[in-house]
Amino acid sequence: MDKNTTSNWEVLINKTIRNLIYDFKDKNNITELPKGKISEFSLQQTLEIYTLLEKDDKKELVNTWIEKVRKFIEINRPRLVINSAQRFGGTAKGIDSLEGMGTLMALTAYTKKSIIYYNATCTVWDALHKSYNDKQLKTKTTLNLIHQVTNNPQYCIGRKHEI
Amino acid sequence: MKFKVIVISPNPYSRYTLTTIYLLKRMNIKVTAVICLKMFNINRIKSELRRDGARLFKKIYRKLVVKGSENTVAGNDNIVAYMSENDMPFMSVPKFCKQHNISFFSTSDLNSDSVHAFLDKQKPDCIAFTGGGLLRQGIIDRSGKGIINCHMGVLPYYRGMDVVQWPILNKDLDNIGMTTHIIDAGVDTGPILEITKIDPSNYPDLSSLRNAFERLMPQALVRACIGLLEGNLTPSHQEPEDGIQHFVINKRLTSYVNQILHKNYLN
Repeated sequence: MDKNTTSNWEVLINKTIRNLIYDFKDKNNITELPKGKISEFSLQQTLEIYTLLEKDDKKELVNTWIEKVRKFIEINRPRLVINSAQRFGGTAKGIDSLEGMGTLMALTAYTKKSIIYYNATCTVWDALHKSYNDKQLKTKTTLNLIHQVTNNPQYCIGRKHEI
Repeated sequence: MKFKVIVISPNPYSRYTLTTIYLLKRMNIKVTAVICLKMFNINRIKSELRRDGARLFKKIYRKLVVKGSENTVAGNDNIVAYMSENDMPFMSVPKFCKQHNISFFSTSDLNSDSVHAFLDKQKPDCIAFTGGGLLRQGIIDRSGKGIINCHMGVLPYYRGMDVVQWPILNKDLDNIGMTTHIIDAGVDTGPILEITKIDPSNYPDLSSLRNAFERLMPQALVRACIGLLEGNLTPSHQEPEDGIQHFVINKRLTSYVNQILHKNYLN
């Protein structure tokens, strides 16, 4: 981003969400707490959770999903960074899951201004960076958002995470 | 004093373990045994490599080659100086045990049946934990009044890993310190015994701050053991939702930790 202003961030986030809405026209709203494995996470789920987060960032349903994703990323951090998308049983599918998780963490880090979500965003970025070539990294809005958050920790440092 | 305590050690050269045993003995607590994790077993190396990544090699160098404190920061605020000031000569844990007639039990898995059988025979009043990984219910059930750990973060807020750094990144400088607690099946979720806070304004960087922790932790651990055994400390329950689990901080954040500490030190 040329200028790190709030309006630039809003433009980037709005553009990312607009693209996701376009990609997933027939979205089903998430109504249940996460069950079992979340290794098949997708960008569609990111959109659904973020839509709920925007409405009410204290809601148990939203925070349980976000925490589940954060813990999954952090617990699998060494494997993710070394094996990247193969962690999810196949490159293409794995990249989709990672991209969904990374986008959710980046959106949460910026919305909540929380360093723990920034940390998880960095882990995903490092894993994705191994899976994509530079051209793809520059053109996809979701990846651009993850990258921009990773490069701007100043928005999250010094803001205590509210439980 | 009639109490019997067992100490769990992460390796045979742990200064933390050694200082804890010295202090327990000086407080007339009978240390009946030390259960020590074998250093070189494949499962341990795999799991620690998975958790710590490249940091593991630095940790091994510091603990096994240097056998010293966190780093070479000048001054006396570290465990090496504490041992020297208090006439606690450094030696390996097995050698100390031999000299003082303490049983030394070496294992590659703290949760194994052989450790369970050893504890069934020993029947300790409590166990002081100075490191060695995650403990399961089997060992917890055989620990008398409990296994006591000194966690390097203020509970219940800072559970998990790198909890010296996380409050600094949050600029939550009033919540830097250590907590003694009884280990349960969760990650740092067991009943709290005592919280000791540290004023970070005395430390210009993370290394010197962590050295201060190393000096204070054996003292806090022994205080908690005695307090629990004598009934002077009442464990206070934590609710799972009172805190969140923290993980290893990303390398992009490391420099910010020292920047914040340095600024706070100068002010």
